[in-house]
Amino acid sequence: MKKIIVCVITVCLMLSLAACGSGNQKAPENAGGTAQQNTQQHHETAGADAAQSEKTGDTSNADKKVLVVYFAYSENMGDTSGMEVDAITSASLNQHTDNELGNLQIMAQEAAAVKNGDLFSIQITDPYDPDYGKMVGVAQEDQRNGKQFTFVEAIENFDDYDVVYIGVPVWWSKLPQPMVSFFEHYDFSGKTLVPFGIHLGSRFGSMIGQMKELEPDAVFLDGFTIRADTDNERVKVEFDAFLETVD
Amino acid sequence: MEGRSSHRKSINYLVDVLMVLFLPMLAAYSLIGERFHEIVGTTMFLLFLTHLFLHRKWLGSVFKGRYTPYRACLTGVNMILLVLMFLQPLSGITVSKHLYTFLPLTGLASQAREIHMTLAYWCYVMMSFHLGLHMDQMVSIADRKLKTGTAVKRIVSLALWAASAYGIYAFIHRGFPDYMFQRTLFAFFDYDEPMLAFFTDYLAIMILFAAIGYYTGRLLKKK
Repeated sequence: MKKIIVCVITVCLMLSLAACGSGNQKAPENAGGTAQQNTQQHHETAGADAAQSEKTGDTSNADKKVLVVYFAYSENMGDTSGMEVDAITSASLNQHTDNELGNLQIMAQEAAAVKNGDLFSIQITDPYDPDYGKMVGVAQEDQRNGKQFTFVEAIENFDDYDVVYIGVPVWWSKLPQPMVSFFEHYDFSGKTLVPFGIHLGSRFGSMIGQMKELEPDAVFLDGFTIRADTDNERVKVEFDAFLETVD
Repeated sequence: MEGRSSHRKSINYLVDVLMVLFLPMLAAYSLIGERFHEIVGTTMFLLFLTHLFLHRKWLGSVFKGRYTPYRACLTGVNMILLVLMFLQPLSGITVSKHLYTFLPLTGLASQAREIHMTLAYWCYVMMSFHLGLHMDQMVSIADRKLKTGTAVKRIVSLALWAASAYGIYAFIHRGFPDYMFQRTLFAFFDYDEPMLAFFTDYLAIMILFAAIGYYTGRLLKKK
């Protein structure tokens, strides 16, 4: 009997040790969790970047019309104006960096500036909870159930664009469910797609395959991924280098 | 009596071989398909239970007798594996998308996914190490069988050393340290890479830790 008790205690101790191991990890994050401070700041920076593009603008493919679309969780969490900034960033990957902006926004602005493209932020009519902890489970359920999303705004003159840069957070190695609805809503046949994404280890996962299934008649160029918790400055440098390779 | 014991031994052997084969398949996760992963995982757990049953005498004697350094090491590793091998199916079933969806387990999915992923790589290393600790008998059998051709013996041992050395590279290249210490919480799978490349690397990692286990065992037995 004594031995059984000792045995049970040993196993319990080991279990508690194992729990420690997983207990001191940082808050569960997924690749989509780059919450930012606020969107106002984003627009200011976008303006600054647009001004810069007039100087550095690439004119080599002026004949091609470029669109840059991206889907960021931070711009799909409804009205956060009443919230403390910390309430948003506490769940953010940015707590480990000095980042002021989400890396998707950084890249989207950069692509629009360098490639003379129009910038479009995908926003869903039914936004996610600003509380990252709550949002994670919901986002995963959406993927499982194949939830349908609708969008706040439509892209104007979508048919006119030849090249579309498309920025997405990789969620559990897949497209966020709103992006599936997005691809079902817009027909990318004949267009060239350049994916860029942020992740937490999975890189694109099976996302590219998923996109190709949704848009079988689009041309896909090799995309660019970077870890979501990379510093803004480094993302800019590396993404610029990538953009140079895209004709 | 003799016949029964050899019968038991061959079942034992079969179970172990299957577990060794299943381990890299489980590591390939979505490369081999998520549903298949769940089927192989379930089978692995059943094999593990069989393995436990076949070694129930060992389990029963844990608190008996004197502890040599080798026995202490083996028991420590086995106890860790015992815990891991129960946590893996538990966390796996919680995040199941195919076989166990009828179970009402959704609340802890996010944590369970991380636990399952992180412990998977620990399992891989610990199981390989455990294999290495028990390699003594196999090596001595191989030794006897390969007595005649020393050249064959040399080639085999050279190949194993080379595989272990490559295993170090594969271990780092495949991101094991990042997965094991939770610096990476989402596994990367390259769907464009040939499956053979994946399994070659994982086999090398297994050989590396089996070799470490084998030499650790020998070192501890000497003392």
